[in-house]
Amino acid sequence: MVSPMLFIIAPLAAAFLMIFINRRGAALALSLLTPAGLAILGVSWLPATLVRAQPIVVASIKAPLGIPLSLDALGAGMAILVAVSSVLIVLYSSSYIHRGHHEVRYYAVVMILLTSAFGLVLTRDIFNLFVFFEILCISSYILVSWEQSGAALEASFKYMVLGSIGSTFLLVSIALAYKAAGSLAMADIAVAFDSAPRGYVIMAAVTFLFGVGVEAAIFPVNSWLPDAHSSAPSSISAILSGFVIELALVVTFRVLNTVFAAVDVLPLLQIIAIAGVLVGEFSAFGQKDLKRMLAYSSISQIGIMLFALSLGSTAGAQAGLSHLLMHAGAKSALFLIAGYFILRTGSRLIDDYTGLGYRMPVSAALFGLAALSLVGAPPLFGFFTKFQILAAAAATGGGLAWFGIASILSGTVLEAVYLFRVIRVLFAQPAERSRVEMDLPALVSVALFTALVVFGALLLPSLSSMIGPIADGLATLH
Amino acid sequence: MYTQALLALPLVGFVVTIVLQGTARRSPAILKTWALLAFVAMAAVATLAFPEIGDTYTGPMVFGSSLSIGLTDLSWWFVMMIAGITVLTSFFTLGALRDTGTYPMYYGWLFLKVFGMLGLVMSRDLLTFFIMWEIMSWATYFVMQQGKEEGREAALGYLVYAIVAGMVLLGGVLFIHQSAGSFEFAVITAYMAKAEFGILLASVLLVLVPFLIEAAVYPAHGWLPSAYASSETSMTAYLSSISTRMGLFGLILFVFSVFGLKAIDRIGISAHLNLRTILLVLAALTAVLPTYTALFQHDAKRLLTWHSIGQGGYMLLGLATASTLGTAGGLMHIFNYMTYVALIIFSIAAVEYRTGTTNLNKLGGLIVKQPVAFLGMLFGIIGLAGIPPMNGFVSKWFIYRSLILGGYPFIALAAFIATVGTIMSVYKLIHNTFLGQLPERYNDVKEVGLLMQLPIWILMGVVFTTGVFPGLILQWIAKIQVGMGIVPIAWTLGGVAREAGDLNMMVVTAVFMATFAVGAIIFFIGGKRRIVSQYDNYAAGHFLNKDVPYNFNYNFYSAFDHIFEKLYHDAPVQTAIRNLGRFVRMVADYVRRFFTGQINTYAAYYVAAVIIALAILKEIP
Repeated sequence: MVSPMLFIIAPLAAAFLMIFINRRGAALALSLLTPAGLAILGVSWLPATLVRAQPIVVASIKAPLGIPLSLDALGAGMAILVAVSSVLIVLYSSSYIHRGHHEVRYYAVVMILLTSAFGLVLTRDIFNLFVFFEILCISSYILVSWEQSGAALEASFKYMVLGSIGSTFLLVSIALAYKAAGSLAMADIAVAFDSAPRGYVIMAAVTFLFGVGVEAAIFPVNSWLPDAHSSAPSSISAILSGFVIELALVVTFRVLNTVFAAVDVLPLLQIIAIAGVLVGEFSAFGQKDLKRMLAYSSISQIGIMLFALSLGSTAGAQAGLSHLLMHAGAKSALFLIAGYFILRTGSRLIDDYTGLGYRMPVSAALFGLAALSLVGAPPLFGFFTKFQILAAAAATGGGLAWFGIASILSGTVLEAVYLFRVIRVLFAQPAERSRVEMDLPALVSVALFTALVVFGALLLPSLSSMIGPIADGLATLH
Repeated sequence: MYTQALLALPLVGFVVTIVLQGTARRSPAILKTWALLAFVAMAAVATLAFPEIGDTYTGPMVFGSSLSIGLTDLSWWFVMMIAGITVLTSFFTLGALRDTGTYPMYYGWLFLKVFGMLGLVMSRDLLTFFIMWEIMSWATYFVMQQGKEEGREAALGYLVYAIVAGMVLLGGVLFIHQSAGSFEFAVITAYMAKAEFGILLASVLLVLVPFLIEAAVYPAHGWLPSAYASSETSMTAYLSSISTRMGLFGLILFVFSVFGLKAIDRIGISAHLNLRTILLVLAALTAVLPTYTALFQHDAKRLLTWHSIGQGGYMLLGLATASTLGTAGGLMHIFNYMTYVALIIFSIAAVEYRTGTTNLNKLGGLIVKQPVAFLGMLFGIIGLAGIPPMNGFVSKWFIYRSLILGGYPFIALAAFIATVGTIMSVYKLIHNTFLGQLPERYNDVKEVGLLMQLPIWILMGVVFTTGVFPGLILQWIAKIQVGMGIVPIAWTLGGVAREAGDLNMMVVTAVFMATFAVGAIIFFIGGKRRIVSQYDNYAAGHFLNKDVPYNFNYNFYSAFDHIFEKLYHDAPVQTAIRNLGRFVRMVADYVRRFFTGQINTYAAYYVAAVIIALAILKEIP
């Protein structure tokens, strides 16, 4: 079989290649084919990883000198999600990103972002994690500022400053870990922490949490997100909200849950998660800027996922990962459609979309479906994932879990109201009725994302055999 | 077999309607005909499904238990009501819905709503029930969206209530599932019979509150009038007649079957001071206050939507007594109200179709132009006011009797007071629409076509027939009562035997008709009559002409309005709910300030987060 190393090598190579060729067509082809190929690669490795994790040997150098990489079911699953999402988002970008505007570089940076995303999934070395984390951050800064408008530059700058604080925290954590273990491999650190003083591990865990957590947009180190996700080009918003924060969340949680297993951080994570849900939903409520509203909604959705994962039960982990899949589809679709709303009206304000639903009926209908799924309306995918999370929380029991359930339910009320205010505006009496539907590639991309959230519930039975091993990846380090 | 087909049909209808959307503007007849045929087929299948009562069919597995549907006597009865009123409404829209292009998805969402309602009444486990409940809520929101512009804002108001109800219900579903360990009704019933008091109370409240919201029971009724009144008029009829009753269906199902009356009656201090007493008081408030609010409405649709709340109060009154006569009255009132409110609103729609308005200050004298609509409304309001020989009398009589016999004299008094209000307001309705002098601008108004008349005639027949022969309905209700664990009513074709005094509507009707006959005889042999112009008259010493018509219908009941204004304009409940909304917005504004946009504060958050996290982790062992 083809080595999973390609996950890291292929997008990096594609990025450099397209800079040298410097042709739009070539760049587009490379950035469509690379993730498409990697998606196939991920699918081909998935059956093997479901049985057990597949260690990757780099350049024939074995541990402890080699670079520890490993592909487990969780990694394969996340990699497939990332790869498929990027194919669709690149497809969307082909009609959305203006021609000539450093277009080749845009695709190149996206490819570098993918390199780091795959790297984060594969790495079992805490310093490599730092490196990939930095690459992810820097490519995100670049992409957020892509439109070079004042707001975009400001958002990118804030993102950079706050991301750097996160990196510093992460570095502190790594230093502490290295001092304790004398090694950077996660497995060694986990062993060393078992016998290290408790306060020491707590310090390392907290700095790690708020280091990588910056990119995962966990509360309260998510303050960069509303600016960054709303000022970025919509295709980038979809990448950032669609899989980057989810991926970072999974990585953060997995490392905390395995490497820092010596301290029980789950109650802390539950508190953070619930706060995130409430702050996100309340902030989105009454928001007039569509993309900002969606960005706040991402904060609350990350809270919901983190809540599910930090329940500490198998059911919770599985439910959280299912919700992650749903959110990736729904939020990508919403951001991508919002991109065309902005393109067609020249405004980010919801009030300027009056009657747009009659001019872009398909887009508006897809927006409605994705929003319904995000809110959790049966029979769409979102209902089942949210229900699973709530049921898992109810099964866990206890005051904090029921408080979390109550928060998610109240948050859903707010979420439904603000998302449906958008739909109501879209279908208000129109001023004009000329059709300005999305371009075909964008429409196909959005339709596929929406299909996931509409028919995703049908996947659940077939997912159920895979989700077990995938969720196990959150608790094991192989 | 037919049971599944029954549920599948509206879903197919939904999909086909979306496919047919393109034709809506060019030839709306295609879509209308399709909808009517599909709904007629659905009604036929519902009838054929009758032998399948008692069977349960399981569907796909979800969360370790399979979704299941099936018919019971109760659900079949609701299915038939839904099917009947849907067919009549879609038939009425053949003529009434002029520009289908304006209402692009009217039928589509109607199909989905019907799917949700049928699924709800046919659900045989908690999870199916909840899923269908939610689908119904969403579809209802979208159905309301298919109206005028101001209606859409009102629909958003409904949505807020519906989601709150849905989320509370979801909390209840999770709690019950966690406690009882199953979604199956039978398991829950067995569990609740022996459940700890705290668990029972929490389960019952979490489930009943959403039903009371959906049934628009005071004080959670505020969403209904605007949302219903500003929908498309045929949809107002549909929503008023059946939609609100889904909350009552849930209440009946859970109180009498799923939890069981015994478990419910454990919640309370004594036999006369328990959960049902609270329901009775709420029901009495629901019957009285909205009915008197209806008096002061100047829009025919809005006036009736207030009655949709008030009459729901009567239904709950009967049901909450949990007696044979009371539940029979409550169940029958659901059917009766459905028939006559649809009849009245169809008549109003007929008037609106010709005059373009439902404003009671502007209409008047249309009896000479639209006699069929007048007759429809007359039959309907006689039913609504609870006067023989129409069906509304029978159910109200049952409810009054059960309240008095059950030992609730003050609640019964409230019901009587509400009836006075009902009579006053329906008089305003028919007077301002059809009586008095015809304004000049309506000289060219004609009766509506046969397509729109037919549903009116049919409903007139139903309202009258079931009024004279209430046994036609009571035979089903007796069966339902057995399923609810209540002694079935001893029905006869004309009413009821033995139950603390007979009621035979055939005799009542005969007496009623005989009285009319005496009046008619005196009228025909007694005096001379002369037909004059409507202006050949005087009022308060003034002669009338077309510039100075008598104008009683303008601001009808303004004197009452003046006296009671404060009571309903600044109703404490409405104010409280408004303030709650304001409070949520305020909180949202404050929370949003967390994101200041200043990097300095953000950096401070990081530090604070680390310190707080360290402190928390230090405390956790």
